[in-house]
Amino acid sequence: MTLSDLATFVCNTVNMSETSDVAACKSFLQRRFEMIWNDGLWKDSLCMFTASVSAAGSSLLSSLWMPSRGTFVCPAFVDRVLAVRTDQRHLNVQRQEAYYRIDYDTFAKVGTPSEFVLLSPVVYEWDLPTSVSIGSQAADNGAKVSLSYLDVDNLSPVVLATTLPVSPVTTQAVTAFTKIATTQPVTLQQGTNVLVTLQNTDVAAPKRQRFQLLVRPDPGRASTVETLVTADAPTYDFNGNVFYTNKLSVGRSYRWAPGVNEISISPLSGVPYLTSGGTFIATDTTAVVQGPAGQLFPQVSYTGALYAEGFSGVSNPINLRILVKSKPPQFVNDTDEPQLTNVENCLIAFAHADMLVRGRQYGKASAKAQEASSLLDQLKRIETLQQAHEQHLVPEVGYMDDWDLRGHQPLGF
Amino acid sequence: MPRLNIDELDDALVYERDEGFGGGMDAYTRSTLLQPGQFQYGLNGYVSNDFEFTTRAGANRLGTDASGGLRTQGLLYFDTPNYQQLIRVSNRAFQYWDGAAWNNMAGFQATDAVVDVVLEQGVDKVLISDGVQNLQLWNGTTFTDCGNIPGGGASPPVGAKILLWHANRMWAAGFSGTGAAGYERDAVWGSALLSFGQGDWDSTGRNFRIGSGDGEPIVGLASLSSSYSKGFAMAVLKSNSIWIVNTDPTAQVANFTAAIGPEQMSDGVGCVGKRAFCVFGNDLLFVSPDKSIRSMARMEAAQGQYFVSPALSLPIQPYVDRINWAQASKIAVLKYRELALFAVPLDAATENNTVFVWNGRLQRWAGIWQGWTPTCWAMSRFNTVQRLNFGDTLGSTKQWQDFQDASADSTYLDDGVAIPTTLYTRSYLFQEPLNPKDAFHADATFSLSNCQQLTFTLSADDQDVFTWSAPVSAPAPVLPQVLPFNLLSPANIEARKGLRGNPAFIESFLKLSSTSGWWSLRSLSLSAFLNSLLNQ
Repeated sequence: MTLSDLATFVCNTVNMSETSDVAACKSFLQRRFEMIWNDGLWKDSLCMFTASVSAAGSSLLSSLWMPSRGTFVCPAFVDRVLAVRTDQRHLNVQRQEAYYRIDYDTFAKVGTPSEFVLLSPVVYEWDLPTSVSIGSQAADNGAKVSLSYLDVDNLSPVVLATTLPVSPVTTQAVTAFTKIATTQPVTLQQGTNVLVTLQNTDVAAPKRQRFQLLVRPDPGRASTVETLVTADAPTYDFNGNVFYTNKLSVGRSYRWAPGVNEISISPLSGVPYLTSGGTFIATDTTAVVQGPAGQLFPQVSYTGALYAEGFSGVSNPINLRILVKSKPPQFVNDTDEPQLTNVENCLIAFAHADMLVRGRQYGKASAKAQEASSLLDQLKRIETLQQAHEQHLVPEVGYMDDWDLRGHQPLGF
Repeated sequence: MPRLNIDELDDALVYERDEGFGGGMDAYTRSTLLQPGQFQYGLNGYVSNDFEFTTRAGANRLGTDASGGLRTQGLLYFDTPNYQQLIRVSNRAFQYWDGAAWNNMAGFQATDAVVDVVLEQGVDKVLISDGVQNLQLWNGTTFTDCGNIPGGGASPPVGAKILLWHANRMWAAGFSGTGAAGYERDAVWGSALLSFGQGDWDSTGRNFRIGSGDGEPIVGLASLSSSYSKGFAMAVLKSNSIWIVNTDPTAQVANFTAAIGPEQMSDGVGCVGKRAFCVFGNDLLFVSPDKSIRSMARMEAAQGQYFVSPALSLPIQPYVDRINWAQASKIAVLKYRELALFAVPLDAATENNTVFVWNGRLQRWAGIWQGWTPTCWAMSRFNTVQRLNFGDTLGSTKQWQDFQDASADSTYLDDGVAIPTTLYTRSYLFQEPLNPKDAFHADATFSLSNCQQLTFTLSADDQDVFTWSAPVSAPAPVLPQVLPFNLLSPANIEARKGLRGNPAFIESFLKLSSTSGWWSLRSLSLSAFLNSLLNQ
């Protein structure tokens, strides 16, 4: 069932079918879906992919933000890292404190890594602070835009909400660029290079569109072009290392193929749509793709970063296999289905309870929430038992309980 | 009683309901103090049977417009055994409608193209005065000049701007006061009994003064209902007072001032214009320059005695205050059916552009009508059937279509133009004036209606917070051929809407408005949840 189907079903059940009711119900369904997704390590939520990490040329000191080598930054779809291994062996997860309190020699170690550390979410940046500015047609003078960037101290986020034209600001990272109430295309530039062009058609009512810029985390990124601009959070495929978004335009999906010196965006099936960079026309997409190397644009808020053990001492390169739990898949559009098998009935029950709360029928809602909890338990049993799983043969104890000798004395003692 | 906390586990809804709208419009009283059935504002609607608020019927042109497109100067229905004519004056010219077409009345024209002309019927003739020329008699086919002969056996008084047929005499008043004796601003002339042509007037023997030069000109004459003791009561409306004269036919007219003595009914309450009043049963309804509409009513317990009522217009006082009082002399009033229609110039208008509608049957204001610009009214009785007619500011004569099929869309057009209809309900407190509330739903019930887009607006604490639209029409069956009539379902039409998710409020009301179509609102219900008291 799609989000729309679920919402309609619930709203009809509680006899509240106004547009505002349906909208509220969808928001309940979304929150409940995320709650259920976070509730367990559902098989649908697991994802494995490969990546390589190199310690060569590590520039710990020159990087003001984070080391760029010996580190793998997980893609944005990753919610939690569950396990990591190399081609040869399993890696133990370690706390960072251990390297300071227990294993003081870690930083001097060389060789094959044996451990990894989980890091907090990170941002990417230019290597050196650079100047960015926002340009527009004169007709937009006085219209508002906002720019979120890293201040010159490289620590403080700054949100600049101002009217056009905007004077250049010096920053090492731009986190977001929002076009508000302008009628002409607005460009974000690094020097004279146009990084992003937000078309006037990108701005639908209420004339606000937030763009995020994604950079694939790759040690070799300096020599490849890996920029994708999307109108919303990206999703991913489970083949690893390939990002695409299905939010560029309704009914159309685009794939970003890394590893070449150009951007390739194409429908999920069919011929490449755009292979050499440039600007999508308004009727095709709300996105803009940036072209040649050297004009990469940083991105913020990747979650789930991990270090390979040994920092600069790691063998160069090593291949990692990473098991992660992904973030909740998109469940926003009417045609989205909850990407958690058999979750529909549980979602319906929870949303029903939420709608009753909305109708201020707390007693009835409580009863319905209990039903929903039961269905959630049932869903977990289904997840465990009603698909391929390893069964263990547990031998029973014969005609008596080993621990109950006192109650049974077969030998007549 | 206000509730500090809502103790129930499952909240119960609280309700408000207007079962009907017979309480009429009251824009003066605080909207939360209105009683069920009253409403704050009603535009182009009236209270029909079953106390429903219903879109008024439209008004269509009668034939062609008068040439020139100027304001209609006068309108009178003339009825004799031989003639039935609706006479109008516009652009100086006289025409009559014979039931099928307009016919020119040759032989006389008014002096001015826009100044009001007065017409009054008596003894199967019409006496006409434009305030400047000799008065004219119209007998259905020709004009007769009454001349300008003074003294005994005189002509009708030239310069009269007010005429009244009453107690078997024609009465004339409304002089400028700049002429000879007998033509004072407060002078009233009476004709001979049953005759008012040339020679039937007496400039010395059959006139008298009201107030004897008190500085208040006469602005109107009205024939009041007859009864014992003062069976020939004529109201003389002055600019700042109202008088009653017992015009006994057996008495000498000249003695009315000294011997019989007009009775002053009010001082400080007068009338604004010669068309700004109407007789409604035992009442004289009039627009007073003290910015009120009042009634001078005959007392039931004392047959010959009258009293001036407090302002009837209090419920619509905000709109009465908006009258362009500099142009109030153009106000025109007529009693028709159970209604008294007050055409007034509102705001900056220099001609009447709004009609206040008084429902005498309910003793309530039915609302405000717009889209009409009546300068004068006349009720016709062609073939004994009463019809409401008015002349407007563009020389058109229009007839109210209240007699047409109430289920026909064409009935609800003003000469082809759609009629907007609006209703603001009273404010609902849900019996808890202190607790905030969350609106839950609204349910409006309509009887026979056909409105493709009726817009509802929820106003919470005087802020419009939610607007929605819905068609209000009964589904019609689909037939293989076009029928020559509307086949509408007689079932009531429900328009329900969930109001959940809107801001909490203390009081709320609904605005219903449409720009076209017609609807008849039977009842209205709202429900809400009470919230805990905000006590800090």
